[in-house]
Amino acid sequence: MSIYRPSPTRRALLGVLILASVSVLTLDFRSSGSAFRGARGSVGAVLAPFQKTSAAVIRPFSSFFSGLAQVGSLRAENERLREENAGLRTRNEELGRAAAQVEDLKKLNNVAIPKGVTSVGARVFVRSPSSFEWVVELDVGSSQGVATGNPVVSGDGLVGKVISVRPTTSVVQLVNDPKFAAGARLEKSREIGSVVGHGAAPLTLEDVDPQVPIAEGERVQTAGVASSGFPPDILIGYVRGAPPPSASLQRTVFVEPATKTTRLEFVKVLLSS
Amino acid sequence: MVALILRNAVFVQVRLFGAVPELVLLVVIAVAMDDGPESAAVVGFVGGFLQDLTNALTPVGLSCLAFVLVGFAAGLVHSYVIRPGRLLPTAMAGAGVLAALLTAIAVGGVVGQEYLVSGYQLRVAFWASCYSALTFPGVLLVVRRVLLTARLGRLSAV
Repeated sequence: MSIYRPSPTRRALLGVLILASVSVLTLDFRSSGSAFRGARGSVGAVLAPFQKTSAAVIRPFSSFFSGLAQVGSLRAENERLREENAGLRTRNEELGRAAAQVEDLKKLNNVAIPKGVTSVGARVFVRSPSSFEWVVELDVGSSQGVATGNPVVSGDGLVGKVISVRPTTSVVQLVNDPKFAAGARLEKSREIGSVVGHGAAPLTLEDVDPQVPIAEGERVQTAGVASSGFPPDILIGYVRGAPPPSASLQRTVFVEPATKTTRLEFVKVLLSS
Repeated sequence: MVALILRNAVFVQVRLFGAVPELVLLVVIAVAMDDGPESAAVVGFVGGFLQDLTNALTPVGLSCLAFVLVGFAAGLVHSYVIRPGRLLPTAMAGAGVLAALLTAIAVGGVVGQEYLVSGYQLRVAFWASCYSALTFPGVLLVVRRVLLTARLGRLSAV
């Protein structure tokens, strides 16, 4: 092919075409698109049947190919979103746990402790692996002033009592341990009895006067008898099933513990009374 | 017109990363390679004008101007090529499409079409030039055959 040498006529042709293009552009711009609206409509009308036909024929294949073209990026994005989702889920769980802990601590902080009684905060770090004993271990011990027999409370109520102490840890027998027993009082009637643990089953309040009326949901509190070691008026639980007054000699009242011993985390040990 | 129909009816459905091959411009470049810059500029003007009429938002005259410039430049550059390699037409087509789209983006920005001046549009311009380069050998073949037939027709008429 020969080397091109633009003649004046050819240069003029290029100039005219550029000028025409710029004029068209200016005309369209100045008229805000109305100058060529009719022409656009006509061209659109010519193309429309072709576009409709091809859309019906080609679209299924084009979707497949465009999907293929994006497989790599979609896979990477999917992986990234999956990781982000896992991270957010973990974070959400952490926040949920933290919120529950804050709630527990708030309740624990608001526990009414009898006058003259000091307390030490503790965290439950081990639950008994045995099915037969309901005990937990706390991260405080004799070095913090904890002694055997000290009552332990949570934000909801009585947890149990310390049964064994080491310098930095202590073992607590929970209220629902089958060997647990404590003097208790019904809040309204002020009747005194003994609360006894039964493992996963509700506590029972025994030795109550069979003639005394007992309301469902009535609060059961520590009686504060000197021998029990518990200060008075600590919530133990709520009446959940009481037989009506009768002439029988025995009367057993079922008590739902106020503290969910299976989800204990923060507690207070009452040191002296 | 056939290129315009193919672009707007067929290739618009088979996009590559959102880009469509610029078939009309490829015809212009093919004409530039086979018939010289003037023919390419004229074809570029007509083809660009028709393509602009199919666009709903971009101003008429934008493709017109870009196709005229690129068509003429492609013909000019090609006239200096002494020994064309096998990949040269493809590379020239890719470069030509990229240059035309960048020109359209720049001119569009000047005449108030700010949406054209964005990273997305630049990416689309790049992919459109790649896609166009891939389809160019076929376009060149067809255009050469059409032009040859036209020349033979003129000769036989003479």
